[in-house]
Amino acid sequence: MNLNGIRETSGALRSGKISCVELARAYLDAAERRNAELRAFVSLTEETALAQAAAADERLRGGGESSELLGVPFVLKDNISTAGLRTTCASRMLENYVPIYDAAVWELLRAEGAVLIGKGNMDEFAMGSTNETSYFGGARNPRDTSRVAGGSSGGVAAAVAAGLAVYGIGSDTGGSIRQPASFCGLVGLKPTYGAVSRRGLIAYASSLDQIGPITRSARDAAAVFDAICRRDGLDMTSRGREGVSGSLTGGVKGLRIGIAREFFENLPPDIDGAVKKAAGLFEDAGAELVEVSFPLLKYSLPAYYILACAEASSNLGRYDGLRYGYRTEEYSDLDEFIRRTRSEGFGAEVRRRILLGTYVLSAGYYDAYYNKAQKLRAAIKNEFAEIFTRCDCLLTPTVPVTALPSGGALSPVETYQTDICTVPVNIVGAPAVSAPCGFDTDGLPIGMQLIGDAFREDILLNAAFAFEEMTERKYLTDAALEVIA
Amino acid sequence: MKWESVIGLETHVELSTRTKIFCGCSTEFGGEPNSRCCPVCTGQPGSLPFLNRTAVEYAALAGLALGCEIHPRSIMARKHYVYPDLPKAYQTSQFDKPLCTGGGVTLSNGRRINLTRIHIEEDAGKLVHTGSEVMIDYNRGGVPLIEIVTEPDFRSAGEAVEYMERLQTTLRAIGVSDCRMQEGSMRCDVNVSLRAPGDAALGVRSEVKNLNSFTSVAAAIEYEYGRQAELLEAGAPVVQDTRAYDADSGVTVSMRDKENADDYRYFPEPDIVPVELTRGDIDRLRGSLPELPESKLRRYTEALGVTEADARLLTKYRPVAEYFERVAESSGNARMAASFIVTQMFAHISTEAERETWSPRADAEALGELLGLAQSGKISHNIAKRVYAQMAESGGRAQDYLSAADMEGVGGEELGRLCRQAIEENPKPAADFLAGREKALQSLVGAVMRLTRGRADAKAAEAELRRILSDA
Amino acid sequence: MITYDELRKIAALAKLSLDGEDMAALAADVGEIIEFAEAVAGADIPDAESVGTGETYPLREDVPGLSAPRDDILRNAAQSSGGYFVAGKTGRRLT
Repeated sequence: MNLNGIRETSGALRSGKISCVELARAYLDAAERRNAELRAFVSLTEETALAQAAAADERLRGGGESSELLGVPFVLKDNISTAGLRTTCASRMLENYVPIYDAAVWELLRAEGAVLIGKGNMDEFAMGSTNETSYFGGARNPRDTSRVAGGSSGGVAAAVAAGLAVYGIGSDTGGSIRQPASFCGLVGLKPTYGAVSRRGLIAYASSLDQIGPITRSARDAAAVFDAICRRDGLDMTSRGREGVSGSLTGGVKGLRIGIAREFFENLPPDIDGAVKKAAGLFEDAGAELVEVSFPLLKYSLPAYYILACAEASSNLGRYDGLRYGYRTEEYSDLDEFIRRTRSEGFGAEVRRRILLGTYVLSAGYYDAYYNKAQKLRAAIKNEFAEIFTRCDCLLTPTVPVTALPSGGALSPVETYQTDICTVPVNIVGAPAVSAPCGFDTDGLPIGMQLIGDAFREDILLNAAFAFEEMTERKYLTDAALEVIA
Repeated sequence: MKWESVIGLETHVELSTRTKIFCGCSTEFGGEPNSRCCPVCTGQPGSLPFLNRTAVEYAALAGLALGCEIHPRSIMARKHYVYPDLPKAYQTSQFDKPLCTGGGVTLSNGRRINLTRIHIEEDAGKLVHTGSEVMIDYNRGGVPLIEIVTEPDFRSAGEAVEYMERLQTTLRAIGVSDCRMQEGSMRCDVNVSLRAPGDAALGVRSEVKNLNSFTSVAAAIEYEYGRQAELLEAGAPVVQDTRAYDADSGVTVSMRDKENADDYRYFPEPDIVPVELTRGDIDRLRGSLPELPESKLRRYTEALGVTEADARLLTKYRPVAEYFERVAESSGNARMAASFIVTQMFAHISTEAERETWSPRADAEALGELLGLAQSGKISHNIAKRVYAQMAESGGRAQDYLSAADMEGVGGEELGRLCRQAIEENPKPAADFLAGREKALQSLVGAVMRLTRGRADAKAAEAELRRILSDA
Repeated sequence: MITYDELRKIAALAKLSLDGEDMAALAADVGEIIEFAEAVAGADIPDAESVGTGETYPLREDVPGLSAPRDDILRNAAQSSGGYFVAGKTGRRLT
């Protein structure tokens, strides 16, 4: 029995072909077997998973209405707070940190009866595009383990792509859901800023961070999004919205899809070709392609790094070894205690970004960097607002590269450049989906990105769903766990 | 050379909300260390602030009471510095878009002190230093504060203290803070610089942090005046620095070395949406303000005929003012009620804490009734004092303590007879008075009062004595 | 580029120790990132006001909720005593 997506898994559980506990056991065993190779999980949460699965079996026996997520195993990125379960941000700093409270998204999923298999590996504090800044070693790409799974939610993507979880929850500050989804041939949704509560998401850059699903199909992404998109009375920036699952009709007739030339500059031919071919298919299905332009794209990346690092330098100031986290043992005064704790607890990339963030906020540089980046942010928002008067969504590549080889020799800035297509979305707070749309010459997945106006996840997921239908799901990853019932 | 001091104040006031500014933890003073804490106010990873509506409203009320402009949209900002009492390594405050700007206070000497701004921020935790360790308690962390910043408009320590007293009176009257300096719910930083009289430019200033009593505010300013004047007179430069005042030794000492110069790296707090108040919200808050101490003072002196000195004391403490107004109404003589309360009652409650929570045993209406009897001449002032003492001891009404004899008073022929008896028994003061020593008459009044066991009216006795002696 | 002095100043603000850092490599890395960020400093863009979402966000009512049990608050602290978090003024020194 091949349990691929959420609907299939839920169907098998409801029909009694397999119990939730048997399913959880099977996923846990598989995860345990393959984690040394893939490094998808920082921790497996066996006890929690089995207890939740048993409770889910109980609910299924009791009958009545229940969520499609009931009893379905999933993976949660390890920067999302789980009370009583170690949450590390893949950092030495939080290697032994056990939160005392639950993230809002974990509360919601638990209430639906979701079964947590483990905590997904990631770049340290979500800072990275390759997973290689993880203190525990980066997650490997199940398609080709000599390549990275992407970042920063790479562990989540690797687990889902390898069939070690049915779906996953990641976080996306500049592409951290969409890029690993693209590298692993999965669907990744970065929701509108404020759609999903950030409470319990260990902050990287608060005005850019957003939680969302990584799944094997647009339909699954919609189902998970519906479960987690809520206004939270404890997150002032959360707004929530109605669900979108009902909007997946598969029809794209009359949909105005914007193509901005700037996103296609200097692309490798196979990525350029795959995305343009997808555009052609949409057009064949009745969508209208609209040429638009986004001249500020070239400033998006540096503006993003300024804003993200400024906020990161602030958000990570609290790790001083006094209340939680790593603490140094060798120091001669409190100042040295804090400085050594932080330098020993944080990895090189995190330290670099803290230094940059401190620099751009410091007296004398604030106006040239932080203030200017804020002005660019406003200008980019205005440019997006104008674009969305002319089209319903934008179609772009997700990443200008496919899964990079592990241990690649890219400099920090060269690595940052690969985020060029994804960061504008976070800058404006818009929703975007990455969906698989082809393979490069090495057979590695290529992702296309659909960007929408605020709270138009329905349009994006429906377009992605339509594309899956018209391409007979041939680009989707189908590596689900084989379970013998 | 006499220098002119130029002084500005930054006053921190804890707002008396029930819960902290960003979480539901209690703001009550005291408690076991870290017992009023949660993930938010201890800065646990992933926790988010949620702004308390009442904190914003109290801050706006303070602004309205001090004549500030209230901005319908203000922005919270992060102010970064590292200290163990600050769990997030930034204090959530306001920077370039504060809630209130402008406003001010006019002092009794007629000088106007202008306010720069009032902004909202959070308090830090408390540190207890032992020999080798620092113990950290975050119970106070996240208690809402307002910071009230003045222009450098003060010219003396006395002005600064009067301003502080006025702030305290006003903020207590509108109920937004208890302003207890001894508990740290009101404290202030002073900026002091000196210049030659007539100079327009400001001198180099020092800032003395965290003064927690009026006495310290005055003493720190005086000390800084002396220290800076000495430097200037010696031709040495005053260095801009941050200083701490030590109440025991009465001196200020520099707190920070220049190598670790502050750089707060303010930026807008992304976890908190802009603070928005509609015009309607602001009007509603303005309408809810009670009578402010300044207008109460004017009403007491102008409409009720109370002396200014009495009125200042009475308006300073809300419970005292409320008590006075009830006594004044039932006695029918506000001036007398004020004078009686100030001399007979207020003088006996000496601590600030007692005055803030004043709740006298003697019922206000009963006291009013008693004073009414004295006012109409039915009993003497002395008897009124005696009865009040009994009421203060055991409660009850005037009738409970007044005998028929008390009510009769001493007058007419009886008073004349007793006055003559007093003069006969005390020939020396009588002779002294006749020799022109006016004061000697009081000793005879005393003798009359003793003879009547206080039933006589002192003023009437004095008049009778004067008449008899001048006839003689 | 960033000088070693600037780097030290920034590290002091960021509370990072530079002990054991390869200063040349760090200055090169951070310098490269600053250079990359400089595109923004040079961008010629008109002053744009950020457009709000147009939504109103409710504030929290001043109603006490539950504080966390103190044991939980202190659970992750490496050192605590008598209910306090404890910071040592001195530790084991390198010898």
